[in-house]
Amino acid sequence: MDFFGNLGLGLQTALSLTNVFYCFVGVFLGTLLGVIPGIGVLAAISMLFPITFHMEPTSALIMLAGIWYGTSYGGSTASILLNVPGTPANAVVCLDGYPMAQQGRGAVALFMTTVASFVGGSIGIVILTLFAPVIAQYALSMGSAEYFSLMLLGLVAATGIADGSAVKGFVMVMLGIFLGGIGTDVYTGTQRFAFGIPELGDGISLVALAMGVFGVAELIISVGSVKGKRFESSDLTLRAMKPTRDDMKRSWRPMLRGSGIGSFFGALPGTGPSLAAFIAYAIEKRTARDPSRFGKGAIEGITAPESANNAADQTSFIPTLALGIPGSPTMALMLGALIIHGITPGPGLMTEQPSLFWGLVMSFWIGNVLLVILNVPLIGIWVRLLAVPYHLLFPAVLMFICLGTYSVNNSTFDVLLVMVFGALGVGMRKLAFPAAPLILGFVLGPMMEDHFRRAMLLSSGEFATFVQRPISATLLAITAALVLWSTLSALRARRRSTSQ
Amino acid sequence: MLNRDIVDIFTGLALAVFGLVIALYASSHYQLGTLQRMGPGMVPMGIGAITALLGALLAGGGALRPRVALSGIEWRPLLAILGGILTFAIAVPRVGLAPAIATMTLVTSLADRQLRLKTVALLIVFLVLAAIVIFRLALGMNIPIVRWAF
Repeated sequence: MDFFGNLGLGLQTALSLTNVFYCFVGVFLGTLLGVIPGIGVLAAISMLFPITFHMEPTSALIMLAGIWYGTSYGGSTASILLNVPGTPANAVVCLDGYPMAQQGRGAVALFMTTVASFVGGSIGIVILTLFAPVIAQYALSMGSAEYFSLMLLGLVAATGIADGSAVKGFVMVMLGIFLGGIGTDVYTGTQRFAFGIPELGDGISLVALAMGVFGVAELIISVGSVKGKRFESSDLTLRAMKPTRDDMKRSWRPMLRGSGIGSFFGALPGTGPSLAAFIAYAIEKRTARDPSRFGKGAIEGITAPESANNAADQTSFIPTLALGIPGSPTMALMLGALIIHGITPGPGLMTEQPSLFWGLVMSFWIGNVLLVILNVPLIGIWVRLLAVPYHLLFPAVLMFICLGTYSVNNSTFDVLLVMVFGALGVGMRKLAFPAAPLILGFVLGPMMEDHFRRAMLLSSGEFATFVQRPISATLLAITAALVLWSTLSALRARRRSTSQ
Repeated sequence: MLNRDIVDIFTGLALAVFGLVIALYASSHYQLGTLQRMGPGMVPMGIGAITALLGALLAGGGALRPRVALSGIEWRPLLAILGGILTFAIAVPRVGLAPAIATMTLVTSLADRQLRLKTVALLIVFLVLAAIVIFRLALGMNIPIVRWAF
């Protein structure tokens, strides 16, 4: 089918009543959970993940994706009004958004972040539409060795770039791969680390792991720390939102630059919206004629990172859908939703399931338009929500986690796993072990083992196959360079801190 | 020794032991196979060995760093929320949805001292209704609202 035929098919799928409904549910919940600090996008998606078991795969993905990019829109609200980031990707918006709110320009800031989000999202969708099919075409010629190397690159990138100790990140990857390997070995049928427990023979459920490590752990930490914070109640009428001509003139270039930066970092496996937003902010500050304005309510300081994180939200679907390789834990959950519905992610997805792929992509347009409506005329609702005390919210969130997990298999074992992983998650946070690499390792681990064993089988047990094949060798070289770079910069940072 | 980063030393050593146990267990209980035809034990053994190595690295790094203060755990929310999940898991197959949500909410609300009994009661009513609407009516799930199965 030709390009425009595909777009038409996608539009037709996305515009069906059911899918528009689920798209709305997704972006609505995304905004809702994005606005509430303490519930990040991963917790949000893992909480709603079980519901998708009862849905059509296309609708399920449309809804999950809506939550994903919806939280980026909603997250900036808390950043601007409370100086508390709704999600990590919006953290950088606090720097200039909160000062704007204090100067009585909170409404303008909310409006401009929505505009910037829409611009970033749109550019991201266009790039996704143009590049994903090309990459998938190219990926059809990749073998197991290439896949293994690419996933290794993704894991190393995700771990090396994340803040904190790289060693701790790699420990988490290993633990994730170990947990992912529990259950029946596909080649021999051997039960690995099941210890005679029948539920473990089927493997640990991704839902239980994600809900525990992200959802429950986040709740436990937030109950102690998120106390009702008061905010400046600014005038949030449409008239107050109108930006000045100077605001617009200053903003459009940063938005375009931010979108470009976001699109690039979103598509790279392992990096994502948070990093993209930080880099976009840093670049604006460095290239500004008067950098001292930043941190005091510079409009560029909110529009550039908001464009970047929304563009990254969209382009992160490129490796996920074109290669079947999730670049972030959230994308891993999306792939998990596909796999549970019996759909194999990978370069064949676009040709085998054109209505799913193109329907999802076209739903992004609908979702972004809905988000503009939700975030400009209806902003007052979300702001009022920030006043709901947290101690009423967390039992509701916990009910959703418990019942959601239970609903997947009617299994209390999974609910107990959530409890165990919740405790693990709290321990990990206290000891500064990052949680994202754990989920990535859990999802990528079994796929990597499979490709590794297959590649070794084909090469008669020669490790050289990974460096003799040009694509695989290139990927491994990038991986090695990344490891070297992060080791060197860690050493340099340590030397600097000891010399001071 | 005591003025070094003890937390990292201990977690590192614990991880090293954990990795070794996995590697030994995998290599003694599952077939390793050959490099060309790997058995189910090969990859877990490798993972265990790498974990042990990383644990040792972490402990070594901790020994080179001065001690870092660790923020304490707030036990009240931790125990209340984990306890809430536990009661839910025990209650739901035996007494059904509504009592399970009620006990879970009761236990969980202990996490925050600000909650009064009346508020909790209202919250329970709201949550049971929400659960019935979302999970039973909208998603068509078949969990009994109240049951007696001992």
